Amino acid sequence: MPAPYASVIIKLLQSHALYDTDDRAHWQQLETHEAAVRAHFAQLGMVLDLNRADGYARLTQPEPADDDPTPPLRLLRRVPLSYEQALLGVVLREWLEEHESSAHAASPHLFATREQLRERVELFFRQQPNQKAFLNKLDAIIERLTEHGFLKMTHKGDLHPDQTRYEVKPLLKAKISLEKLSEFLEKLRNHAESV
Amino acid sequence: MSYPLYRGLFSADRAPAAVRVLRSHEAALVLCFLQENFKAGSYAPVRANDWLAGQLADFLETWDVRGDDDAGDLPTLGLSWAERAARLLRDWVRKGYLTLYTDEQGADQHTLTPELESVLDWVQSLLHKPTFVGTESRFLDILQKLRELVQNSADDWQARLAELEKQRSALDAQIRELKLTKTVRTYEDYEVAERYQTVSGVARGLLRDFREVEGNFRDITQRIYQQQAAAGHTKGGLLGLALDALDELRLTAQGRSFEAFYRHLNDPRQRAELDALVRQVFELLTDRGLETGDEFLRKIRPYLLGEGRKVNDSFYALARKLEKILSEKNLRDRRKSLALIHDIRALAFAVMDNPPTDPAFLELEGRADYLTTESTVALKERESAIVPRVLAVARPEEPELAALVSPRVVDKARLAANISALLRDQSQITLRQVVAAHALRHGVPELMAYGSIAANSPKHLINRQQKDIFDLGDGRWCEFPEVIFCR
Repeated sequence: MPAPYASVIIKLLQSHALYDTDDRAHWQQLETHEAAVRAHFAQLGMVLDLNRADGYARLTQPEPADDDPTPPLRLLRRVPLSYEQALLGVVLREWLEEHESSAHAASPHLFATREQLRERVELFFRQQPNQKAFLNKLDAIIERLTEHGFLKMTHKGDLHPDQTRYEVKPLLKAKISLEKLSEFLEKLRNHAESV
Repeated sequence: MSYPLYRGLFSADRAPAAVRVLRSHEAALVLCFLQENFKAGSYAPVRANDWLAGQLADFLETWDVRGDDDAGDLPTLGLSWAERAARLLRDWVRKGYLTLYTDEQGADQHTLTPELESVLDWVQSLLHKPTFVGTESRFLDILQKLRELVQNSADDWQARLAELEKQRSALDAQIRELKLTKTVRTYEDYEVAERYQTVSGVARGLLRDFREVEGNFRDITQRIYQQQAAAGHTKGGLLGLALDALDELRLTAQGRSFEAFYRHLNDPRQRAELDALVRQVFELLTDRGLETGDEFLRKIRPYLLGEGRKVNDSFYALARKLEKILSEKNLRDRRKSLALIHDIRALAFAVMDNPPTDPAFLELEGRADYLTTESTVALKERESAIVPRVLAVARPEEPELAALVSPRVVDKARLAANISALLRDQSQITLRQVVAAHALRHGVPELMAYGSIAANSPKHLINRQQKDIFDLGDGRWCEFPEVIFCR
C-alpha cells in the first residue's frame, strides 16, 4: 500500500514548488503529513523547505558533507542562468519586496503583464537598432524564467501578446536568495573590473 | 492648509468622492451606468474589468455620449468607443468611484467604492419613493432593540428572573386565549409589506456596509504598518508589534462583530433557517398576491455568503501580510537584499556595453531531475535536436563514408562517464575540453553521441552560434556546435 502522502511526494519531485493557492488538495495533505514527508526526503539527503508565510513548499538538496564516504547522487539539477536571465530574476525579486512591503496592495500575489516585465528590465540593456530582435530577446528571457517556475502564466493574451499576464512566484525569493544575490554581485564586480 | 470638514466641499480635490461625483459634469453618466450595471436587476457586487469596459463602450455608443470638451475633459477626439470606455474606467478608479483589484486568477476586477454605494442608494431613494412609509414596524423594532439592550446588559440576576417570569405569564395568557378562541390574529397585508420592505432595506444596507468594513480593515492595517515604519523600535518592541498585529486587527469592535456575524452565517443550522424563512416569506407574498417588485431578498444568503467570504479573505490576507512584513528576520533580510540589489543595479548600468556573455553566469538549484509529463520538457528535447548539417562535412566521394554507418558501436555510457569524470572537478566543461581529455575514437558518430547526450538533458547547453572545429584524424576536420556540459 502506498502511503497516504505518496502523491505529495511525487508532486514535490515533479514540480518546482507546491503552492497553497494553486494546489489546495496536495497542500492540505502536506500539512497533515508534514513530519512523514520530511522523514521520507531526509532519507534521500533532501530537505523540505515549507514556507507557510509565502505559501509554498519545495525541495532542497544540501551539499553532502566532505567526510561522507558515499555521498548520494544529485537529484536536483542545477540551472544555469545567463547574465540577462539572472538580472531579470534580481529585478523581479526587488519587485516582490516592494509588493510585499506595500500596505496598499490588495492581492498577496504579484501579477505583471509581459509589457511591464520588459519595462522593468529593458533599461539595463543597450537598445539595439533592431528593436524587434531586442524585444524577442527579452521575451525569450521571460520564457526561460517561466520554465524555471519563477513566473507563471495566468492569462494568455492571444490578441495582445504583450498583455499576457504572469504571476511572479514567491519561490523566486527562495531561489535567488541573499547568498545568490551576493554571488551575483561578486561575479558582476569581477566582470566589471576585467573589462 | 486644512479646511474644516464642510468648507472642504468648496475644494475640487478635497471634497469626498460622494460630493465630487455629484458635482462633476459626468454625474449623469456615472450614476446611470453604475446603477444599471452594479445594482439594478441582479445585484452584482463584483464586475470584471473586461466585461465592464465592454458594457460601457456599448452604453457610450448607444447614447452617443461624447466628451464634454469645454469642461476640460480628456481629449477623446478620434478615440474608438472601446478606448474611451477603458479610459473612463481608469479615470473613475482614479477619482474614487470604483475600486480596482487583481483577483486570485490575476484578472482585474471592479467593485463600487463605499462612497459610490451610498450615493447610488441615496439617489435611488430619491427617485423611488416607497408607496407608503411604514412607521409601525420600525417603531416596534426600536422598542424591541431597546428591550434587548437593557435586558442583556443588566447583571442583576433577580431583575432578569423577574423579567423572564413576566414573559412566561404573558406567554401563558396567550396560550390560554388561543385555546379558548381557536383563532389566530395574523398580520394585515400592510403589515406584511411594511416588514418586508424593512428587512429588504436592512439586508441591502448590510451588503453595502461590507465594502466599508473591508476598507476599515485596510485602514487599520495601514495604521499599524505606519506605526512600525515610523519610529525606530527596539528589537523586542518590533517583535511585540508583529505578534499584536493580528490580535489588534481581530479585537477591534469591527473585527469582533464581523467575526461573530461570519460565525452565524456559517452555522449550518442558521443557514438552513435563513433559507427556510426566505422561502416561506415568498410563499406568503405569493399567496396574498402582494407585489414586491424586488426579488433581492430571495438571493440574500448567497449574496451575504459571497460578500462575507470576500471580507473574511481580505481580513486574513491583511493580517498575514502584516505579520510577514513586521517579522524581524524579514525586515533584516529585506534591508540586506535591497542593499545588494541596489549595488547590482549600479554595476549593471556600468557594464551595459559589455555585459557578461557566460551562458551560465549564475547557477541555481532547480527542480528534481525527473522526467515529467509536462509538455515543456517534451518540447524542449525536440527543439534541441542535433543539426544534421554535420553530415555534409564529409565529402561524398570519400569511401570513408562507411565509417558513418559503421557497425562499431559508440558506447554512450563510456562518453557519459568521460563527461562526469571531468565534471567532478569543474562545474561546467565544454565538449572541446572533453575531447581533449578523452580523444575521439570513432570520429563523427562519437561527436554526435556527445551531442545527443547534451540534447537529452536540459542542464547541458548547445550553443549553435558558436562552432568548434574538431580534428577527426587523416587530415579531416569537422565543424560542430559548441556544447557545454553542466553539473
